[in-house]
Amino acid sequence: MITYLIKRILSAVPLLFGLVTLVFLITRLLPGDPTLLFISPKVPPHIAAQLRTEFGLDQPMMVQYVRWLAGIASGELGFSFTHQRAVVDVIGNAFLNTALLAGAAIILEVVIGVLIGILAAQYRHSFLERWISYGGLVIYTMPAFWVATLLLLLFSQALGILPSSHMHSIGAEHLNPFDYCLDLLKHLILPSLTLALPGAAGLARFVHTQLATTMRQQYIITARSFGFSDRKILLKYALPNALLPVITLVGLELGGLLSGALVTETIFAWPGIGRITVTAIFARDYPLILGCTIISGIVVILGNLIADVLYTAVDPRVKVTS
Amino acid sequence: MGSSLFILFIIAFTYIRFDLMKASFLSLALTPIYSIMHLQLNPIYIRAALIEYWLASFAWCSILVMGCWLLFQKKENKLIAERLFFAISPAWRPNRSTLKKSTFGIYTLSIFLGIAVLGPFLVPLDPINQGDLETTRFLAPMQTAVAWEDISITVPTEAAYGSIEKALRDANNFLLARKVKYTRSEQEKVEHKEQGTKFHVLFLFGTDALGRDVFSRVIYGTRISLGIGIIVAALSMILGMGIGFLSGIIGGMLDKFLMRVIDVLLSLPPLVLIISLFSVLGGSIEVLIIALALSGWMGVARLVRGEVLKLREQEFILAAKLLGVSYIGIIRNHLLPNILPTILTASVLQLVNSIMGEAALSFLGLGIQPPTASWGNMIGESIIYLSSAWWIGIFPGIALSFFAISAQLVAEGIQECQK
Repeated sequence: MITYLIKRILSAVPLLFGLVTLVFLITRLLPGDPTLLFISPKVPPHIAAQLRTEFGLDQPMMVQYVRWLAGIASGELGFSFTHQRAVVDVIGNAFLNTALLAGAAIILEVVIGVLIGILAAQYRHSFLERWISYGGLVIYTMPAFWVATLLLLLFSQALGILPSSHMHSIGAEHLNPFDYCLDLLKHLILPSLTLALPGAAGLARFVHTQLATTMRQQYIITARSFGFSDRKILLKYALPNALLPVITLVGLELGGLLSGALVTETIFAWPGIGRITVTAIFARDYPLILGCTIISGIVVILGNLIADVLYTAVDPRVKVTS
Repeated sequence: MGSSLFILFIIAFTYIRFDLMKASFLSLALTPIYSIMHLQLNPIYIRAALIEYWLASFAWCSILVMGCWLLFQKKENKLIAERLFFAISPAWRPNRSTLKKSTFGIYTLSIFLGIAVLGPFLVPLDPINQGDLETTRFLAPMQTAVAWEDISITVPTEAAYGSIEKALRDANNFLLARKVKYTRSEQEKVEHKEQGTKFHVLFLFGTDALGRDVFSRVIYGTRISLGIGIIVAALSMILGMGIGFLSGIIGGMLDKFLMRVIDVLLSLPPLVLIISLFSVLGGSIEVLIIALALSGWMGVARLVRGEVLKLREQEFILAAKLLGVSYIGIIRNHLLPNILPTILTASVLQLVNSIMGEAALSFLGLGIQPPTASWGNMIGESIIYLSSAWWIGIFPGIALSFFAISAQLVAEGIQECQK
């Protein structure tokens, strides 16, 4: 197990290396050089040249690349023009908010998805199963911004029970801790539902087919012939096996969510990494854009790593082969 | 469903004015040549029109294919259809229930394509004409207004299409032909009578914040979204299949290297990759297409490589190799027919993905820029008016959902054919 763990972690290192190289290449795809982005054409040429020397852009490509690698390795991602702070600080603050949103979304997604999947598998060949699969298809194909539009129309316009944007109400910092959390929770519901619903629909479809195939296995028939109750068969024998691949799915999803849900965070004005990326793009804040790109890549790679490790930890059959 | 497609054509042909058709088709034929000659010199509006014409040529081909498909639905033709499908792929044996399941999807997709191609004949109003703001902004669906055809913009009927540029300009005028003026009071009638003829306009889906007809915008949005979606899907399929075959057949170090590259590219969330490419390359329709295509091919390449690896070890490929068939021959005669269903499924899903990607970018304000309508930017514009005008965003959203669902059904239908 430990050798597998070490092997798996080491295999992520070239990926990280490739990611950083890719981002370096993207910056160098530009015609001209990066200073053209923030130096106006009116700046006299000798000052521009001086700036280039200052940024080390007159060095050969390989030297620049090594410097870039060294900078990343020491946790230096540059300085954000718009926030007037180090990129690491800006992202660090936003990451907590994104983690809160992603955590809530994942929990909602797993609970809704698995429950509905079980429901559909339990009532096979029935009216309920057919409508669950139709509804699942409709929701599964919806993009985030369309789900968000519908949720906002329903909960925030028609019913008027949930706030439509931001993380806190105005003046929330003066509330007592309990009300503060309640306020936060209210603001959390719509964005996390937006993120969770399409994923939950996909998960429900997956769990449904998985359970349907598991229920046809020989050991389920054996259990049934022993006279176990349906409930026991489902919960003790069928479900754990059917849910194993879900771990991988959720792990992959978590990586994507933690790297910032660009659209959802923008709609709900949630101050996370996704929103920071979008505002950085509109402000043409290149160090921040590249920083966000690197962080999202790293988070996704870590998410995949955790999913793999968890899967081997839970499923004893995988350990033997590794 | 078949009859609704028929009705669509009837509507189209009642609208047709042959002078306009001449301009439209002439430019359709000439645009590719023109685009090769002067792509860089084009003003922006011609580039938007260019996308539409590319779409039109794609869509006419697809409509032909769909027409054949409809023809084969008749009982006596069914045998021919099945033979045809077998000729395409020996691995594809469709049964009746599967065909039934994806029929809904295929009809809906063909209706979307029909709407996209016949767009200019279907729109009652110019999609970017703002009209009289005071009278027409935020009209609810099914409301009417009195409109006056503006006589100053008429389409040249007896113009001689001497040059390519003139044909294109006329075609572009044709796209903007239905410019109308709205009046609020009856007193203005006399003044307007001299300018043009009066007619009532029905805003089927209402109007948006700038008084533009949402129905016309949804139809034009279909053209843009589908056009970009089809081009991007085609590009990324070509790229993905090429790289997939290359690394699957040649193998060795090249395979390892390409797979690592794909791993790295996949480790970025798709939207982040598109946006970082987009922000670096600058924003225009061409860059949007390139960025979407560059970020969409990895899944296809992996899929194709996997299929090739599976087939490569089989005896018939080995036999072909021993007989001295070239790589190209093996791909064309042995591999391609066997993985065709997989490729078809992937390309349908790729179409959905690229349309969703375009919509998400346009929603954020990075993709198609506002005067031009696309489903994504219409929903994006509607978000701030949710409390007062729900109809602005709902209709493009419904179109988007319908498209995605029908494409998903088609993809699932093809997937089941494999089993």
